[in-house]
Amino acid sequence: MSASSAVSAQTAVPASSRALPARKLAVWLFLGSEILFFSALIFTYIVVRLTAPPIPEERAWPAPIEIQGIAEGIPGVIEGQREKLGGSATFSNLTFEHHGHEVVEPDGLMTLADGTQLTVKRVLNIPLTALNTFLLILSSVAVVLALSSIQHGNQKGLVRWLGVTLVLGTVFLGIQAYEYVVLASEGLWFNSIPPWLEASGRNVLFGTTFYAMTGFHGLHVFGGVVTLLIIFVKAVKGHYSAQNHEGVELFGLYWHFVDLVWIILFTIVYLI
Amino acid sequence: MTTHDTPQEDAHTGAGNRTYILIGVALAVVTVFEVFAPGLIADGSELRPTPDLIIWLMAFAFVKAGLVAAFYMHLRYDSGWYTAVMALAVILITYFLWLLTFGGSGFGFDWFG
Repeated sequence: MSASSAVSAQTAVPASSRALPARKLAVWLFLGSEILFFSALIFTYIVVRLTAPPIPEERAWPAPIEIQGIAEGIPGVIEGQREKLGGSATFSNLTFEHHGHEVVEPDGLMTLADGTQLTVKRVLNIPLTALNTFLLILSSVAVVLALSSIQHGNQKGLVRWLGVTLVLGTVFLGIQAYEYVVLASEGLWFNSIPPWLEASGRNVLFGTTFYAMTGFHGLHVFGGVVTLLIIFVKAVKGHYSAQNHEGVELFGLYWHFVDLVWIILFTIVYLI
Repeated sequence: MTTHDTPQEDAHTGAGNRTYILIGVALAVVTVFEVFAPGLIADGSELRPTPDLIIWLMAFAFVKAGLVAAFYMHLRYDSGWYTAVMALAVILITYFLWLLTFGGSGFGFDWFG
């Protein structure tokens, strides 16, 4: 190509206004494939949850909160309890009310009118996971503030907010690890569920899908924390500036995506 | 591009810090509401969300995810090509969801059964 034609081509298609940053487009394409990956996990979860065989005639999947006494079965009074509990219940301020005379707290005892005591138990630790969700949301805020800082040439702000993100991401992983240890000690694992759930006919695939979905997400967070550590060190060394911060921006896209996925997973796995 | 933090929106830098923080607060508040939302119903041995609550929880989750994508991932301010990539993936999974529900596999799920 001659010099004149090269100049003509540049004039006809200004690169600055038309070309997409290749690396950023690549990250978006990667995130598109990640959407398909997590969707496959979620759809598999839905299919398994709705088709898992119940034993004997109860629903196969644990509810967010189980009433343990009935789940384990109390001969002779199951139907009576079912009748007593069959009305509407409200979930307010961590208390349940049944027919106006029973007020119980999750993970506490419920005393029925006939004196029978039942244990109300959360299958998963929703409050702790809600805290973890809150931390991940905070970390997303921190990342976007880090990017905003360096876009305005504020290197100290970049280091500060990346540091906050690093701490929050690490705490998220720590809490998830703690959750896994506690659940495993209670009997929830890839191929098993706690005995009290098994006794009520719940399907072991609950454990399989729980660890598959939250575990793959946790691996993504772990990968993000490792990447963030590298970016943080580079930020401390003054590698980034108002003109050169693509690495921070691309990491931010990934981190926000991980947050976005967790928002969906938290609802599907823990709340529903 | 300015050299200091401003709340102004910009095609390159996205929303201002104030907007980012407000979005974060909104996400946190909705999450708290989700956790303590009324609507659990006693059904035999379990306390399970009602179908209405499930719909609301899913709606909240997608609104929150949309806020993250639009503001934090800058889809609202960036090139439409990035939105197109995201949209293509969403269209694909919507198609898969349709197949799952009505397709040849014949699942025909009662989603709240």
